[in-house]
Amino acid sequence: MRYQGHYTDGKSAQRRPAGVQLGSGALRIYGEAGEVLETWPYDGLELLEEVYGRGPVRLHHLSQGNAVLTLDSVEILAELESLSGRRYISHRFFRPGPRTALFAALALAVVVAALFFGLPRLVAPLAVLVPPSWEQALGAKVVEQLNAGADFCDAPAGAATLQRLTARLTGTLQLPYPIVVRVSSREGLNAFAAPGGQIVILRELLESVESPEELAGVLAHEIAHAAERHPLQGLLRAAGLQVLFGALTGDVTALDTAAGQFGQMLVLLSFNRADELEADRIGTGLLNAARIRGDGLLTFLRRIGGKSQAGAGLPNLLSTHPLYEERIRQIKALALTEGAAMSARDWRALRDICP
Amino acid sequence: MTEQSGAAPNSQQLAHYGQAGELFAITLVNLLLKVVTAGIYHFWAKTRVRRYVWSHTSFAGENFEYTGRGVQLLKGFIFALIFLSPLALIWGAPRFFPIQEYEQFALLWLLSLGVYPLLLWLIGFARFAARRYKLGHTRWRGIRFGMTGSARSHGNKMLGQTLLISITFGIYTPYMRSNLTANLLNNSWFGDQRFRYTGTGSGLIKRFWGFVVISILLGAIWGFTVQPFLASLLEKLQSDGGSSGLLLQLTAVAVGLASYVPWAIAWLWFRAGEIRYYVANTTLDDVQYSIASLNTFEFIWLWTSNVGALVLTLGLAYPWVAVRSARYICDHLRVIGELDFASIGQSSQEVLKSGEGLAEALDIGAI
Repeated sequence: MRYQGHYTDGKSAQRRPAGVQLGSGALRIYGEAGEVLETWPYDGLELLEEVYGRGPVRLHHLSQGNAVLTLDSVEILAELESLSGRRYISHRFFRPGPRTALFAALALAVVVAALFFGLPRLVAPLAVLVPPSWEQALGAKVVEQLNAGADFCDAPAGAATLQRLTARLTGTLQLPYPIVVRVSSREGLNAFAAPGGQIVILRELLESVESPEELAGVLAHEIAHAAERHPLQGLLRAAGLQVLFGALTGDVTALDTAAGQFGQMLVLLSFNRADELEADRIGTGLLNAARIRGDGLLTFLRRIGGKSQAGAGLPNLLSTHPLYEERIRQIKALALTEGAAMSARDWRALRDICP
Repeated sequence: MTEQSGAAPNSQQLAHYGQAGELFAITLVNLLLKVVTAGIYHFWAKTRVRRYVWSHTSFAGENFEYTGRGVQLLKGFIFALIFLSPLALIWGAPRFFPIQEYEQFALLWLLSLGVYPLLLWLIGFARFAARRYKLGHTRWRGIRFGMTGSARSHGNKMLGQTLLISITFGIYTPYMRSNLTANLLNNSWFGDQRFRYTGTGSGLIKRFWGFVVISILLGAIWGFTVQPFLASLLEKLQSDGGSSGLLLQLTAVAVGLASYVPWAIAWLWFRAGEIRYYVANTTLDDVQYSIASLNTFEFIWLWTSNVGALVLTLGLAYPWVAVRSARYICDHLRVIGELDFASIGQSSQEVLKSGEGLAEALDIGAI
């Protein structure tokens, strides 16, 4: 069979009509008068680009420089493949239509689903692989970024009290790193756990708790987060998302950017529901073991529950409503109702930790 | 070869017949592969999209051809990273010096005196180099496009011309843009034929001053309306310690961004005239070009709707945007006169084996 098309020799921009016939080992190109212009062996014959159903098919030969053979229809490919014994990857069967659109939408849904559901599940096993020393270094960086422009309060008596309370709460815990608790003069009614067991209580929170047991409740909750390595998992989740979005948008510098913004990310991320409930459960366990009444967190949550809904730029100590109710119920069920966190004198010292 | 088209006698047109659906399928596969390869596939993805766009654009019955390879773009990018990383180190180092904050600030300011000119130079260099790679890997009827001249001298030009702008308080801007365009176009070749650009930029002066006046007016309007509103919004945000919620913050960002739109439109108005001017002053082998039918308002609509679609769909509308833009340009670009195809010979320039790294790293350039 003879196929119709055009031939350009790669030496000038002149193109000439050409006929093409397929032989056993080579393709032959004929000129208008029937003369043989070129003979291209199948070995070295390539498609210029993907072929679509409407054509054209454009071929060139590795030994023929810039010469191009253009065939108007895709019919030639079937015979070419059978004679040359090669597969020419092409899209000649590709017809965009409702099915393609459906497939595209499905594929997209799969990607999005993988992003939002697969990633969180990957995070916990990944966090286990991070050496505690790395986590501590990372945490130090996060705390430094979050505390930029603010100071840590360190009046000796208050700091000693805080340390004693921390030691009492962590007594029964097996931890890969020591828990370090500090009070920051940064604005906001909050407390957060950074990776590597570094906990920061903001001054405003210290001033708004009404009893040492409330503070102990908050602290136990944050210690539980740290013990379960939730902050690291949260960071991995956020970093993973950022890198993936970078991949989607073709931003190859995403990994680098992600590394530079851990602090910011910790601000943006919030622990998920399961993490919060787990931290309450374990935290209450710590309080019980230390014989401190566990309803402190409860009264604190209730009192500031209304205030802190949208979060002052920090992860919410207490998140949105349904979870709030559930947390209250769980704490009520588990907590002791007696036991002081510290003496009145210690409490005064701790409240005066900031100058 | 003499397809007549209505507007000008003896003129031929380009045609783009890409389909957004097909390009969408391609970008979707690209996206999956990028995710799987942590972004490395980016360079192959870009190549794949170009191959589609080029091969679906035709002139005189023949499609263009893109011969670039993903691995070449990757190589170019790695070269650029190696080249740029010492700069990043120099730029980043003062942050780690044990000195006072204001000293750091002063040091960074001093450094920026050196870095910004260098950055300008690099942008000029990168633009030229990226264009050389793209043209060098474009063929039509087997004949390569290409570029002579040096990217370095384009970097010098970029630097020198920008300096002239600052000395002349901006008056020089249209000339500068025209000069840089001249350097790009006069160094562009199709086979052994050279493109010629004869514009000076003087034909753009009026329009440019129109743009400046509009900008100043817009600035005044902005100062009286948007600015107070934004200020009150910010005050509100600050006074309640940020707990007023995401909605308010988003409103502030949206208003802030939206207030740029009038400027963007004014700029597009200038840009449409500029494109018409550049094309009208370009020839190849005695053949002239015209894009006189590129209507300013259509052009503004094309851009604003493109950007709007991209923003609203988080970039998913890209295939539609690309196909639509290519079609729009092809529909309006006319080639006036007969090209003597037989006398156009192959290009003798060598083909670059890596490219665009710097442009990629500096984030310049479209497709």
